[in-house]
Amino acid sequence: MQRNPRSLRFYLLSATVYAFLSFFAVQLVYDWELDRAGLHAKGFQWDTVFANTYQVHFVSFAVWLVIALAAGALVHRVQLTLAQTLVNTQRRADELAEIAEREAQVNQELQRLNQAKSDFVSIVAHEFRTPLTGIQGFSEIIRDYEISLDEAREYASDINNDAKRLTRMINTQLDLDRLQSGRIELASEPVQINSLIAGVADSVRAQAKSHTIQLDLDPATPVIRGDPDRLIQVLTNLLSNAVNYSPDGTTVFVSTAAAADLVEIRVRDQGIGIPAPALDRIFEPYTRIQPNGETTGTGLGLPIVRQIVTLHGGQVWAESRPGAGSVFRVRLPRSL
Amino acid sequence: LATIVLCEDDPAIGKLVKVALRPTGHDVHVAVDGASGLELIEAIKPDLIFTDVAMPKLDGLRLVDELKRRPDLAKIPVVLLTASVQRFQLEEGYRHGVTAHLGKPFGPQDLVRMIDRILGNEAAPD
Repeated sequence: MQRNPRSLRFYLLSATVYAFLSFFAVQLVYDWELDRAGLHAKGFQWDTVFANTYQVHFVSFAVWLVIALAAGALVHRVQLTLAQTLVNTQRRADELAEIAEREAQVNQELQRLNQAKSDFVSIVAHEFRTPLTGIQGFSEIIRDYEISLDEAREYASDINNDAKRLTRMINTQLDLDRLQSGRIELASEPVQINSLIAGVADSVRAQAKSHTIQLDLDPATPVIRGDPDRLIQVLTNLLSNAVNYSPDGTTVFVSTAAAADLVEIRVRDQGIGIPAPALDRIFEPYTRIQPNGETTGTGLGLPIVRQIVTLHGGQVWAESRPGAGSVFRVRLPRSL
Repeated sequence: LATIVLCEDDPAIGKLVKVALRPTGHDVHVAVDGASGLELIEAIKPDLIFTDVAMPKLDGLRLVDELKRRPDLAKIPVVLLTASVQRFQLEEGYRHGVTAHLGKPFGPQDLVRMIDRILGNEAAPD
């Protein structure tokens, strides 16, 4: 039994209650005895008999009292133990329920990941089938058809393009996976966004002679902290997309603007635009929404752009009115 | 010799089909999306249609729906060229009323055999 005052008080109380209960039990027993002996009929009442007995048999009443106290103590102890057991059982049940709930959550998460992984595998398999068709088809033509050497060379170059496209898809996919899983850390170096843009614009110009790239860079654009190589990747992607998705002879406008704690980069094209429902979807892997006559895309450019910008603590989104071109806007905080 | 329309947004596959069918002498016309494919089909009423599923503007299955709605075009056999080769995806194609499918990747022989099978069947007496 626990030796604390509250428990002791409770013990005394319950023992007293049991003593009184026993006392009345004794009365009942006497009454019953009187009845059995037919003495009630002769005018005997339990209290008078008991009063006599009480005086005469004080010792026996003391024994009753001790027994009652002992019984009280015993019952009290049993009660305490039972209560303790109940509390423990309840606590254990609560713990088990909590564990079960956590397990269920983990299971659900695993199932979700597993589903995502299968979806991903089937998407990748699906995407790979298109370049594989070129590789299988043209190689069989070279093998089975009567063709000239020049034709054979041409088809070999088609095969080569598709093989390179596959390689690019694999590498880009692996890159996106590394970025998403956090397995590579971004550098945190001072970056002058304006000069980064000027460099990227030069290299995109070299490959897109039919488009004009016009820069409008805010000289107040501050130096930010970030990963210069990854930011070059973002800008290259956005600028080549702008070029690839707008007609020859049009202009791609790139501008920067500085605000208190962020830098905004805008890449605007004069292409056919993006339908409103697709504006966010284009940042998901393998979403293609418009024809561009170009098959070199991996379907992963914008997902990578968004991932890199997010890792920089920034945001990227697209705005467009179909027919009036699109604007891609990147906001980067000053410090990573 | 047959007139064939191919609706396919990937130029490499468009070229492959043209080159693969050159020795057969079939007349192959290529459209780069579903909408221009439908126009082409209306204009030349081909003997056979090959179509990709995932295409801009009008996807392959919507194109088939359009064709089935027009009495003059509904009977032209349609072969799906599809990278979605899982059973449920193919079943969906057949529910829309395509005649056959060719899973990507395919080779020139597969194309030729498919054409012979479908146009041969059509020519065969009932």
